Amino acid sequence: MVKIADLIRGEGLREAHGYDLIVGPDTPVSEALRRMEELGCDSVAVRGAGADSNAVISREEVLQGLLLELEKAQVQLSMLQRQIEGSISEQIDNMQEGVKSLVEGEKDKLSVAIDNMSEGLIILGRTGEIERANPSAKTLLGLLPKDSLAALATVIDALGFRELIGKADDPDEKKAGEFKVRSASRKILQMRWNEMIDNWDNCLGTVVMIRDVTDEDLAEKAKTEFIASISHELRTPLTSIQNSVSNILADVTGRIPKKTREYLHAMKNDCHRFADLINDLLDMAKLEAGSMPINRRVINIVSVAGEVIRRSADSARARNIDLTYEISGHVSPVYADPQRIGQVLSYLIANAIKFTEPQGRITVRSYDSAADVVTMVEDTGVGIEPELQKQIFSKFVQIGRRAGAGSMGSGLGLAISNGIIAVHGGAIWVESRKGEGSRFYFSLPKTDPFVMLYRHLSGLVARTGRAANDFALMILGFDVGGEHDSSVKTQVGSIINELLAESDHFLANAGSLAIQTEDFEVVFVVEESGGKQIEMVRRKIQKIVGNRLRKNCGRGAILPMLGVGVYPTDALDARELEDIARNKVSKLLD
Amino acid sequence: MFDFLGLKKKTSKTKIMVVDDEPNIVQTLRDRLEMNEYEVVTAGNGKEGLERFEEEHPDVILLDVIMPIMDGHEMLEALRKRPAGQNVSVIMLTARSQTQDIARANVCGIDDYIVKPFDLSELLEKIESVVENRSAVAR
Repeated sequence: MVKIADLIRGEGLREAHGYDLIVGPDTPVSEALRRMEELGCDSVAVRGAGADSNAVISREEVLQGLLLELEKAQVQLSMLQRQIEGSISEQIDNMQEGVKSLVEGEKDKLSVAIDNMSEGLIILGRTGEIERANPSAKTLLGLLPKDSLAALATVIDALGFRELIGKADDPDEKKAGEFKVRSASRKILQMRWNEMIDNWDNCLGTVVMIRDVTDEDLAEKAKTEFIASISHELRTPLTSIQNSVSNILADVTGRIPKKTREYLHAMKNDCHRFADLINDLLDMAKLEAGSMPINRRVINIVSVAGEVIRRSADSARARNIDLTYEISGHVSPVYADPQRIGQVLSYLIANAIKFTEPQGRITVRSYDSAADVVTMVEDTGVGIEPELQKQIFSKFVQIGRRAGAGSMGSGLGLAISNGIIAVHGGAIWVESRKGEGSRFYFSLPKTDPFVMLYRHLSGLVARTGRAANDFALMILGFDVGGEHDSSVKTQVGSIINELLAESDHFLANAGSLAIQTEDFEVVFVVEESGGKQIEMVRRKIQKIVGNRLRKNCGRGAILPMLGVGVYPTDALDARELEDIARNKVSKLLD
Repeated sequence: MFDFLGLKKKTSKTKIMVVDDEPNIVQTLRDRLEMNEYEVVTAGNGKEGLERFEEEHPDVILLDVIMPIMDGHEMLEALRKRPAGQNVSVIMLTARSQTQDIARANVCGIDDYIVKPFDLSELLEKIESVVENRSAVAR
């Protein structure tokens, strides 16, 4: 700090005047200036500046002193600044150093962990190149830990590895997957891959985990084989018992007393129950093992449901329950296992019958939603409490005992249904209110009928090794153009639904199919044997349509369809119909 | 169910061959079928089935899948390779939901299948409809 004393020079000192401000030599110039301003003085006298006289300093001199102070302060300030900057950067350096060593330590730890994992780990870069692989990955794939990444790349390419790491369908979803490969050393390797996505949604590459599942796979296979063999072992004696009972009841052994007949009926029923229990347990085991065989083909839910309703009609009638099937509008075909879907619907209807009081009503309805074909089973039964609704699709949860309706069955029906629908990519759910009944729904994804037709035909060709021309096609079309009122359309719609429902019966061959292609049009695929099948199918269709017409509209009723054919051709020749169908199919598929 | 051709009346006895390794099942099937006016021959495995087929020329074969010596699939495949075996109707007796069984058998051509344990009256219905189809095709 600049003080007054610093301003005193040897010469030029003058005598102090009486009115001078007198300050001490240690007074800071800034203080001196402030007081000069206060008192309006032009100069200051310094006490004891010399040996005997006072030094007088002018205002300008004080101001200069102040300037000097400012300069000094500036120098100090910049020095201070440099000091601060220096210390901050030093601190940052220190911090960086610390973080670096910390990260290095963690990285080392991670590296060691990765290298010591029993699972193999391969990290692929964005373009699919191997960025890193741990020793386990190399040994699992038949290499030595010291082998190069290039050697590993050759091995995984031979396995078709990079092609198997496919792309998920949904671009919004993080891509991940799983597949199994058999290594050169006959090991079964399970590969689980995940895309590495950072916090900003950038894909950094793919991480692949490799596990040797040879033993697990063998165990799984043994389990599946055990299930198959136990199912055979359980069923054989049961078949024999059931047949014997059935024969005695059919009087094969002569007439039997009434009481014996009652016992035998009870035995027969229990044989059925026993068989159902075995089947349920085995199905559940298969679903859990992932070995449930699903035989998908193009099916119409209407025909599957029609069959199940027919089979359930007796037990509904026995409880005096009104069971009806309604079809709302056009129901699209689905790609599914008809047996399994029938099984799901049977469970739902059997449950509905079980929990509905006599005089109640069960309505089954199939309809198209935007993307799915939905089937609903609605009952006027006891209903399900909300907390139970969440559990009923899991294993061994019996609504029966808790609902007080007694319990018949394994409690596996809904769990199996859930599993079956899940394998089909569908959904199953329930809506219910206690005391007001329940609605069970299941949905299956809809597919374009012509794509299905194409898939069905190419499946047949692949399966049988015969050409597509070996399968007869027939088209059934109704012309219900503008001039017809809506009741005609309803009539035709119900005839088509009936035909579809019956189609499994009259299209006896495995490769045959009825598929609704438009609102008032059905295409039949008939697996031909000697050219007789198509003619037989045509006659059956005519008969069903004719019967229905007579029943609903009386004798002589005419619908806008003449024979089986495309209006107005009245095509009674099966070959002619086939030409029309083939043209239509190929045109629509192009 | 669809007796659209009115063929319910049988003109001559239909011959059915039961191929199954379970004597109890064979016995109960034989008794019931005979009561229903069918002629019945039996075999205990696929190999025996093929031999009996050549001797008896049955119209319909009820064929079990799992059997010792020669199973149902092998017998069916061998049968379809023979000229006489092309036209015989076959109903497979299979364990439930063994859909691979059915798919495999379908390649060789089967007329129907029934799932064990089955109801005899259901089996009789199936036999009847297979026989009806045969007559329809024959006409």
